[in-house]
Amino acid sequence: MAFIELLAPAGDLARAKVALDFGADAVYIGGKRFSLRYRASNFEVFDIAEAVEYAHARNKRIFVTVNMIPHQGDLPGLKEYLLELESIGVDAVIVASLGIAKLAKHVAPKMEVHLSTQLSITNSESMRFYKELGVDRVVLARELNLNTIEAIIQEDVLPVEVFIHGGMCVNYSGRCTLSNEMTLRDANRGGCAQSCRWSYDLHIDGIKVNPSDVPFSMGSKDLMALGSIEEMMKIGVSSLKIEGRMKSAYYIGVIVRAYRQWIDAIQNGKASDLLYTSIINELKQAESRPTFDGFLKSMPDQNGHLYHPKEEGVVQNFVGNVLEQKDDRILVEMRNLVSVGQGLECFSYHQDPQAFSITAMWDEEGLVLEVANKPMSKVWIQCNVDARPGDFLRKKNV
Amino acid sequence: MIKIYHTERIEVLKHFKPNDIELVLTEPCFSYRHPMLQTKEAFVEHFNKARGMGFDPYIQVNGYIEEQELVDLRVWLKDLIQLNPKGFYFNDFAVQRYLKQKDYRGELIYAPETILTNALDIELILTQVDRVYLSKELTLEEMMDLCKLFPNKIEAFGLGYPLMSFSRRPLVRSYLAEIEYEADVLNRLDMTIKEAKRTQHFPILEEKEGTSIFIDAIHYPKEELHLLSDALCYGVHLDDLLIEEDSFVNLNQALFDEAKSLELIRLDHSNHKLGQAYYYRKTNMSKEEGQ
Repeated sequence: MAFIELLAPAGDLARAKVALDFGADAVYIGGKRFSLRYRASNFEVFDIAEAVEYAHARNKRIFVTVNMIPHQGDLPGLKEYLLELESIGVDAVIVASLGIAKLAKHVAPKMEVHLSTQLSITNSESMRFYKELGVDRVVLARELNLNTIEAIIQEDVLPVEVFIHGGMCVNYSGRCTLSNEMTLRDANRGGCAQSCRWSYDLHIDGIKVNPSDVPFSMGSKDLMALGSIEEMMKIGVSSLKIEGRMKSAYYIGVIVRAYRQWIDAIQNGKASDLLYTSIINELKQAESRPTFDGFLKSMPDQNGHLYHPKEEGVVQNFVGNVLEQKDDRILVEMRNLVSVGQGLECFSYHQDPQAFSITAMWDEEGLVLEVANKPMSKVWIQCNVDARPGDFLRKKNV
Repeated sequence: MIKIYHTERIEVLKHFKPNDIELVLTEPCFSYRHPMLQTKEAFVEHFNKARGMGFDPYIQVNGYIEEQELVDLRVWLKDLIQLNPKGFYFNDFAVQRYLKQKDYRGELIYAPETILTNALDIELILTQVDRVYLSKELTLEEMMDLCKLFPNKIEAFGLGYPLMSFSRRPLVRSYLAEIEYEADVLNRLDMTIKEAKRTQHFPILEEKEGTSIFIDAIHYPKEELHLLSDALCYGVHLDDLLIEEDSFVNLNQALFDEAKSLELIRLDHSNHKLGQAYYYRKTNMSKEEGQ
């Protein structure tokens, strides 16, 4: 089976390293300019350079999103930015503007140009046009099913990238301006307020038809395509993309590791129902919303939507990041409450999850704790498993 | 500045003179926003009637064409070319490529939703087509600047309900199935949604191709049209979708009637909310700055 790329998101350098360590072949990141997530970006150019260095040392790649749909006033500095990205060794830019695609190929030809899902690409004939512009890869629209994806790949125009996990736009990406109208925040310039997830009344012929406890909503469940990965590999998808540049390091670690395991198992002929179930359970550890398989197998119906916001349960089992290990203790930056006696699991890229129970805890001054309940505080925890800096702790089987 | 009229109601054309407007008819097979016309035959009949009334229509193909539809698209475009339209409006470059392959010599206008917002893109796309239709999400100033940069190559939205979003999903039918409410909602023009904390009722139209949601106010640039004209905008689009026939005809006439003030028009059409889309609203706000 041919190589297939696992492509992960990262909102900062630390998360980029997590994604690469946990098994991503490439990571996409957004800088502080020209990106849909520029307002939340923690990537200065020197951070991007460090991410590139870290990735290339591991024979992996870094893509940078330049994917806003810019108004004229957003464009100054673009050429210089592209040159800068090329000079630090960025492997590809992901763009949503055809003008930017052409400019990138012209001024920074060492970088690949990938067309964003914001362009809603649904067929090979339009891809021929994009290929003539010099585009190297397209990210397909999320509205396509597997048969359509296969038919596109068979035309062999350009490599295709497909979303496999994460949040879903309910509208064709890039063509939604709900946020623009309702909040003056341009969804195509990084301001999406997720107005599709709000509650609405539905009126038909002037009469409100929705019960007040189940408002009309367009909010989509998240995509989870583990069950389609084998078929995607068979039909020749080039890259499997995880959504979520705003997600936590823990989320990135869990999702990337799970898909890495499954892809490797398929490639090595070791995929089994047992492993599949175990990976599904692992993915649930990081879910923030219920999931479904998007458009991959059929047109989404009511089961692809979130009509009952209270059902959107965020899994609260993440405990914290391991900062330091000394003797039989680990220093942990806390995220959620734990008590002595709590069962924990050390989650890392270098070994399978290791379970242990908290037998003792101390604050940084050495005072004994029965309960650690201050988010972001640093707590020493007695630990009898191989936990290293960069590992994550979570409650076990909660 | 040319008036470019979109309609599915052939009878409305009696209010217009062929020399005064250009006419755009949306074909029903690979497009959305055509709630009244559903078949090829109905479209061809519609087209021929318009031609019989002296109009020289353009055809709009505004859908997102999926791979397996390409064969049918190619055949249908061949049929459409036989109708000898003045030109084609399109969203998907597959349409443009097939028309070129068939040596189509009429006008081609790239008309995507939301993504045509800057000179870099327009300059590139104008190497492929005759004109482009700008994103509605621009300010008036941004539109005028672009029109001046590309004189008589740019078209803009002039009258109608601006589209806010288009989903491939059957949003209303899915929801009604969830709440077990039975209603035939396909192609209905009388549905709205209202966000819990807001007063606006946004029209929502569900078709077999997907679900469109519109801004609640009819775009009505009464006091700005001359500015677009002075900036050498080629033409403005007038779309009667979701507007009753009489109201549309009156609003359209008043839009170009210098003797009628916006204040008076608002009084005459108090049942309609008239707005200016994003002409005076910048949308690059942060979370803190936005509404």
